Amino acid sequence: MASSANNHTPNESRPTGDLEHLFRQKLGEAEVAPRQHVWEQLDHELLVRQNDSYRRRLLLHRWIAAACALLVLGCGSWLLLHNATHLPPSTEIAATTRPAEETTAEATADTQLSAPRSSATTSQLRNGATTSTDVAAVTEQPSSAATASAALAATSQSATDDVASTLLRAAKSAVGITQSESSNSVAANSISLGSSAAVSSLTAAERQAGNGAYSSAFVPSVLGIGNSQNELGANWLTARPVPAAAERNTVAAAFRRPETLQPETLPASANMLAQAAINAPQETAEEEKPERKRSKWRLSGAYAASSYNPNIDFSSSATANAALDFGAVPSNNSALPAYSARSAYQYGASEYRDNLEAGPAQRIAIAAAYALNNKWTLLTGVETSQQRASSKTSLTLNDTRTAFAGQAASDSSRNQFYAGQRGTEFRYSTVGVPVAMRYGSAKTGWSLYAKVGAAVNLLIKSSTEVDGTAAAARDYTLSSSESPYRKVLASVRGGGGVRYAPAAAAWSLSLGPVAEAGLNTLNQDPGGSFFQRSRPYSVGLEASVEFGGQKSPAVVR
Amino acid sequence: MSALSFAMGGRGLHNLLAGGNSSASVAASPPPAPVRSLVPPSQLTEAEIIDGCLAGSRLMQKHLYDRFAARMMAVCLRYAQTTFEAEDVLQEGFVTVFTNLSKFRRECPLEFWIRRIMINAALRQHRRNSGLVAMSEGEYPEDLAGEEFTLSNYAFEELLTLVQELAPRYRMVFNLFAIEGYGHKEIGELLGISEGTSKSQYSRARVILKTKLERLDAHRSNGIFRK
Repeated sequence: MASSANNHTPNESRPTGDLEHLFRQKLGEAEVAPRQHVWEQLDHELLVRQNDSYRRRLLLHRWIAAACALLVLGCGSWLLLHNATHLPPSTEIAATTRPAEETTAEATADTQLSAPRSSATTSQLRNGATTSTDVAAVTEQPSSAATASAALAATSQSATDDVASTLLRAAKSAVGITQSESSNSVAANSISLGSSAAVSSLTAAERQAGNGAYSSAFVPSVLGIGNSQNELGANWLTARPVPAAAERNTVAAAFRRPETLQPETLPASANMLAQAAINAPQETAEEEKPERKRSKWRLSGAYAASSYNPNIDFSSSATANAALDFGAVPSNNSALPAYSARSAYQYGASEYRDNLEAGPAQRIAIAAAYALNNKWTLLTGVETSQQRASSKTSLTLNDTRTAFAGQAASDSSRNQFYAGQRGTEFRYSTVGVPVAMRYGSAKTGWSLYAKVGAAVNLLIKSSTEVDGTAAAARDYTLSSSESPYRKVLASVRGGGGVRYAPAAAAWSLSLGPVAEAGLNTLNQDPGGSFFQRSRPYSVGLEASVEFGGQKSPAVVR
Repeated sequence: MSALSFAMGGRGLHNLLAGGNSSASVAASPPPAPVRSLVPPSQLTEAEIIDGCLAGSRLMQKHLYDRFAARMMAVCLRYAQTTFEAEDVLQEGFVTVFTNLSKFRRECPLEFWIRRIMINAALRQHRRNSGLVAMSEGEYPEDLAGEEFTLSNYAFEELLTLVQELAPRYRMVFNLFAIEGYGHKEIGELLGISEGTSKSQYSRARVILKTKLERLDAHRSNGIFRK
């Protein structure tokens, strides 16, 4: 009978012995050469495992590259929008403008002086433009009373014609000498300024220069800074391609396969991989079988918190640009003159946009997720969201579509100014249907995912509140016919992040950044061409939990 | 010529490439370190092979395989029922060896470590196959008196066949106890059975083998060899 403790000595070399000794001596140190194909199979399996590790590293590199690209694009978009919304505001232009008579008169005199200079040398053209810009700045004087009557407008119009004709002569002479881009720009501006019939062309020129948001209601001030605006626009236009190209290169470099994963460094050919797949160990197949048995339907709940910018440009609406009244705007808000409705509207719209700030937004969604395969999942359901934004206004308007200024607080039929700027809060509540496609691993543990999708939302309620003026609060609902907002909003969104699915649980958690961009504008009457419109956007974080998709009971084999 | 080139060290090769003027310095210098790529596999040390494998050299992996495959195949054959099964175990074991070689702490000979991995792979295979193979144990006496066996009377193939004919659970226990030297407590932990079960199964395996050896002797004395 064998004992529990094993005290055999494998190296003893007795010629006879008991059964254990016999087998130990004969089998313990024996050698049997395996067949050749064992090494070949082993070699293939090692190759497959090596390639798997390469593939995982490649996937990791691609995720990192995609995240970097998203970051670069996000930052680029933010900078783009940030720059676009922080160009010199027209309110400053108005503040530095004097009454039309004095400004135009001095501008005329100075321009007449500068004209010979500009016709003398090419380089002095730029001096001429600078001088005319300086005119507005140098001639700035305290203005006690603003003038905006029709008579003044007519006077300034005639004065402007003189200045324009002078500038036109100077510009023509400059064109004759240099044929430069800048001189053409000056000439175009001069012509636009000089002719009241060509106001629309001025607007078009300004828009082309990237400053469409700034109203041309303050024409006298444009005389001084029209060129500078165009310079800004030109700089804006010419400066962008360089970083854009660099960005493209960066993105391309980021998506390029890393050096360690170049094809020549991968040891396997396609044929070897195919052969290795055929010879792959059976347990790999056994491990994958349970994945295929997962339930395809899951229930998902998500919460997103983000920063939301409605990005509305009321001033470029078709209604506002249909006919503009060039009444001057006071340099301070202490005076309460009456303005024509459209001038005040433009002023208020510009003021709104200059002070517009993104606010917090939150979204709750319940969705059904259907696993199309191991990688792709389709999600759809319902969602509700609430967004906030803020701005400032100094106007009370009686116009029916003055969402940026709330409701008129007085009974006066004329538009009025507050004593100073007042904060305005905007709230938007929506319900909608999102559809998204998610790409990610179905395996348990930590993994990464990416998601793209779109949503159609109904703006069920929007409200405007003015600080300290409860009467100015204005609410719009789905049934409000005078609402300045669209009732149906479409948007696209994308995001990514990390997902954690415990091995023995039927749920998973996901967390990651999400960005959303509107396909249509929030305001109902955006005006302008389709590609120039300002659309809402948001950037934030989304967390979601998903239930279901658990493995079905193992099949007894 | 090949032996000369194999024995040529790195510095010797360097001097040879540098020109004939360095022959005196070669004679005076200490024995050169060998150029490892030119050394035959049999002269490579375990540490060199391990380092080469860790560096990802497929050649060194082949050297390691060639050095231990035959001995490990014999181990796998003892635990497996067929040659194909043994080859599967061998392959799985070597994959484990190569993927976990960085965990080898070099505190014992590499062969012991690899043998342990092979045994574990064989036990995994046994667990996967458990329940699938049901062999008749036949009629055997409970125990037999001790007997001396002459080693030279039995060939490796005969004894291997006897072990492979054992029922899987008996084969496992017998291999682990009689040949590998594990105690019944360890065997019980490895196989997920109690120490008493391990003892009884070993006893049963021993009786079966002894009976078969006696039958083998009887057939051999009659000039007939039958399995």
